[in-house]
Amino acid sequence: MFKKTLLLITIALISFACESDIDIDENQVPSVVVNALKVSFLNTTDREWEKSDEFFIVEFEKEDVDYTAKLNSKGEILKYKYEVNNEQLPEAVKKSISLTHPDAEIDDVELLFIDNKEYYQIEIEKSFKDLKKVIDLKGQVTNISYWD
Amino acid sequence: MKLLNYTTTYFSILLLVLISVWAVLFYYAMFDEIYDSLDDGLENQKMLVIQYAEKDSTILRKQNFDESGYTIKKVPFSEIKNVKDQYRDTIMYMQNEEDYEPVRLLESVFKQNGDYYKIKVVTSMVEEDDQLQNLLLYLIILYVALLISILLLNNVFLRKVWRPFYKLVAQLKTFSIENNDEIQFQKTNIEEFSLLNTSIERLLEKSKESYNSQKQFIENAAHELQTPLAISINKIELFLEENELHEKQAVKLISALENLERLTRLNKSLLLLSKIDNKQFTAKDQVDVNKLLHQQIEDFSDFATHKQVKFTIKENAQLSISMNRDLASILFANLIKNAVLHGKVETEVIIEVNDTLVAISNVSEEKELNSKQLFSRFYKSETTNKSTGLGLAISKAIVDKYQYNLQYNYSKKLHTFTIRF
Repeated sequence: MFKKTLLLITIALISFACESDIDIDENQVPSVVVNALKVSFLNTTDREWEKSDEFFIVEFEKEDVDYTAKLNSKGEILKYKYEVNNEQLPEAVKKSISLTHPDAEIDDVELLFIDNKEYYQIEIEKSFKDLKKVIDLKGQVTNISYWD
Repeated sequence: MKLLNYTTTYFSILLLVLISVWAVLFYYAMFDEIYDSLDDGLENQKMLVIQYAEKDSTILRKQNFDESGYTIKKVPFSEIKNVKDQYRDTIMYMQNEEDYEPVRLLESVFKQNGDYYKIKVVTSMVEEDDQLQNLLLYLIILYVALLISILLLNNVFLRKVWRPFYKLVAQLKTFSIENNDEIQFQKTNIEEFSLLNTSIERLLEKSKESYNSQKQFIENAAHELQTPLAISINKIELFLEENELHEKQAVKLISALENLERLTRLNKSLLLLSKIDNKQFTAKDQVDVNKLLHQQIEDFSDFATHKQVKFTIKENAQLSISMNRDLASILFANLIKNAVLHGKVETEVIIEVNDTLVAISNVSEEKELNSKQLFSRFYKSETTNKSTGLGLAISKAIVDKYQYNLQYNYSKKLHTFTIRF
């Protein structure tokens, strides 16, 4: 309990500069939302909640992987993502990237789930410029906006 | 206040505050921990029920807590839109205890197949309640035990640490350089105390040395003066006898003679003091004090008549003491002479004998004497200049030699010297 309060204070101090998102403690999040997350993702730790408008964004850890999820107030998970290694990228995706952006380096890769569909969120560094793309499993660049 | 108690007092106050604060903090931390673990348990139970409900939808209509400890009720979304997980203490009727018992209750909401359900999970707090009470009790016991043991230890330990110091101080209290006392130094591992020991040792050595050399000097000087004084007195007496002198010349010579005789007396007193100090009066006799006092009164009768005072002797007992006869007569003679010398005209010098003391008192207009300096050498009250100022010092030295006690008292113009044997 003491640790929690301390942690909260530190978090509150660190995350002083957030736009419209407000950090909230888990016990301030409606039960429906929390329980929905807990049922979908078992054994999560370090859950940190943000509220933006009618939605709830939660970051958490599960088996040492960082996840982010977005839920609405009815307890529905709209989308979620987690970090993956570059090696885990399907060959098709790698190929399409090397075709469209030769001699570019792939920085961060995230697996994104929207309505049970998988996409890859990729950050590419090329001549000191960062490009952010959302790509489907076939390697096609989609027009889904990149979720930071 | 003793240094020991001083530190211990401060320490105990500090300890009291510290431990009190710690105890309160500890109690609340434990309290918190217990609630935390209770709530974690409830949270777990809730998740298990929610997961189980997915497999077995019959429990979604469970109205009563009974043995399972949860209820589920279907509710419209509007009602629970903003319901947050809520833990609270409450009481519930327990079948097995047949009484209301404290329980911890968690109220939460979950969604299943588009419907919303309110779930309540409870867990008994009977043991936890007892635990908290026990905790408080144990804390108090621990606290008292700690306090007592620390204070005890402290006292015992500190007492041990300070022992050399107190031993030293106790010895210094009774130390007197005249008695040739020795100080027994305690062995100690404490630097400050050993420093104190060595410093005092050095100081005492120096003081003893200078005291002894002073004594030696007085003795030698008195010795060496004896012969020239005797010769001078002799020569002047011869000169007075052999020559027809003018009255003026004779008066001057006689005054010189008187002063020389006074110097002789002073010398004799100094020699006597040294002899007493050097324990040269070893012979002991059984002295009959009453007889001795009568003898002294006889001896001083002319002097008393001259000073117009009378002797009164009150003999309440026959007193006999074992000491050197010469010293005994010097002791009483000095005191009686003083009494007569300072006695007011037409009053009495009262000598009282009991079975343990002799008291000699006289009436005088003089104010109370300074009892601190009274017995030191060359102490004189303002009125006389004929005395050597050694009489009382000699009396004191004699009394100290035999470990008797000499005291001066004053009340209503009556000056009393009391010797307790």
